[in-house]
Amino acid sequence: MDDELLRRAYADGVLRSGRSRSTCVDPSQLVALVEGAAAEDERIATLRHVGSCAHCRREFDLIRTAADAATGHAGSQWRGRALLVAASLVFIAFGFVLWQVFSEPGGNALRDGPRSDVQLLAPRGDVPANVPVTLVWSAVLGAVRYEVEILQPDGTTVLAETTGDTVLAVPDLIGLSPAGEYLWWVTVVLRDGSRARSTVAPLTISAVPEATDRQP
Amino acid sequence: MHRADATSAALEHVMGRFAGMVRSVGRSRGLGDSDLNELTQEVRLRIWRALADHEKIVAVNTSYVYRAAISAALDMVRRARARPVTSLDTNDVPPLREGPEAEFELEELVRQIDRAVSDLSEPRDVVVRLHLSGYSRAEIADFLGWSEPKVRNLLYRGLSDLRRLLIQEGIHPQSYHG
Repeated sequence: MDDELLRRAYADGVLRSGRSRSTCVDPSQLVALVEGAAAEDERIATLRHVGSCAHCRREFDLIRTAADAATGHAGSQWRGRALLVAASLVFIAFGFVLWQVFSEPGGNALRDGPRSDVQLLAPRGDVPANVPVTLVWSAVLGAVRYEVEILQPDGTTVLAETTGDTVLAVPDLIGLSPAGEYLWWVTVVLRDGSRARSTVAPLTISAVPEATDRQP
Repeated sequence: MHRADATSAALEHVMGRFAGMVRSVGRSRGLGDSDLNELTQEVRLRIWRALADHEKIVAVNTSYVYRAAISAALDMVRRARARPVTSLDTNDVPPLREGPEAEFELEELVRQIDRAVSDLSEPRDVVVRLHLSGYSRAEIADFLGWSEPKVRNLLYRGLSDLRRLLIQEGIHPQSYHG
């Protein structure tokens, strides 16, 4: 059976149904879906409805357009997470590795791990505290998303963000300290579900000396 | 620069990229210009009302714009739901067939397709519904948090089962032609 004709018949029927909204999902469920905050069974149930209701489909597309436009991305649902929600699992997994790194002179445990194609490109050198921090890395063929982390030297996660882009502007509300030393890395998730890590790079925020003659 | 001009310029600086992306991304998803313009305007108003000062507006970050955008979209959805239900504008979708008899046959056909999709095993039914609604495999994988190979397999098997069920009901490709 012709797939395109099947799609048209389905879309045509759904669009013309004019059904009641009484069985529609709550808009908050659509937001949870867009933000990746819903559990799997809830995602499935909500999407089952989105796939059968033209009204909810349009609303879902509107909400995800708003989210994608605000973050500058066009594809990933895993956006807008609270800073430490995703970090908890990552911290458990990598806390052990980091403990080994910083308990050994030279800290080369990560260099012994598998290599990745993700190259950390910027920033290079110190970043003045009065300049927005923008992290840049190389794109990887077949990447579905990138998971970016900034950590304090003791392993505490400061930021854990997921993006489909290869640039991340660190939000101001993170509050990186002037004269602060951090580490950052990127994990790429590929289409087949496999993951690869970049090396760890230092991120140093340098204090800005007080100006004696301020501009308005 | 006059204070009001500075505020306006700061707002347009913040909104410039957002508005452009709303237009390009929204149109690619089939959303109408009226919805997209309303969304952009709502976000612009929210930022201006909440901050109202060019220094604060210039310093606004991505997460603030994100929260404003989600809140604006949510309010638009709730307002639309409070209005009487009407069929969506189908001007852009040419009907497969026209005439009252053809309309009745099409409605019956859609009911049969809907029933057949509902008879598919889970979660193939969800993947098939999203595919028939026009989403790509990559989008479906992203929504569900699954890999594309998994979605591809579910879709392949789901569509195969669907075709078999429809043929059992006597629905053949010719049923769709005028």
